[in-house]
Amino acid sequence: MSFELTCLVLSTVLALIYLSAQTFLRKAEVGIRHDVGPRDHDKGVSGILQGRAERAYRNFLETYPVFIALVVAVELSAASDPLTQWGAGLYLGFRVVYLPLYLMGVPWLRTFSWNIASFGLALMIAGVFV
Amino acid sequence: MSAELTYLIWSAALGFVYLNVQAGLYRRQAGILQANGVRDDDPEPDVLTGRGTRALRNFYETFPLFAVLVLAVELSGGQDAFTFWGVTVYFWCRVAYLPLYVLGISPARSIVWTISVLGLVALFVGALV
Repeated sequence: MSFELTCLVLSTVLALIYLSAQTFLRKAEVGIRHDVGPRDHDKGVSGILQGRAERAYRNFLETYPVFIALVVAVELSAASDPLTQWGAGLYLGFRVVYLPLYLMGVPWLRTFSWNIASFGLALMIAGVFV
Repeated sequence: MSAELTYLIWSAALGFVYLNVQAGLYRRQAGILQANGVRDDDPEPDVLTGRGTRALRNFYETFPLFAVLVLAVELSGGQDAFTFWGVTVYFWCRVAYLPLYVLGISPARSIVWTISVLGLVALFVGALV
């Protein structure tokens, strides 16, 4: 399996970690009993950590489809090169870093890590076309 | 076509069903005219609209993972018993999840969700091994 495809498969674990951070923190606030029910009249979460986890998860979903599309394009067109490999590695690595930075409320570094991850996507786009 | 790819295509149809259930429940509450407008002043979702919306959002949460893993299996030619049972369990659990949520049946809904994720885990193991 290519490096990019391995990154893609591993990214599914990362997606589940983002999702779990959001959902377990949420359950810590609203209670499992409420969440197992149909969640009618749900008021959302008000806790600081809960809000951070939710925004981090939403942020993850914003660029994740782009990453998926690029890895699939790289694979189907057999366009793997150092650009796409570095791109996929940077994306995955800095999306890993992003979550704890957000949960701990670290400003700037979180934004920079987002920028570097997105720069990885740009590298992949370049790599697909070059 | 492999069973995994067949299930992926049917899961696209299932996603469309989730979408239309939500859209239908929303229109039942707000009306077609409101739906066709810009929806600036949408009503607070009532019980059924809320359930349809949350079920749809929940589908979106794991569907990309399912799609990714099936594509990875296809591209690497790694079909095995893990990937077959993974996609089968995931798909049918997601089929059952929608009516369970709309009808408000719990905790069966949460159990079915958990089993669907076990399907994803099996698919992941099969994709990587």
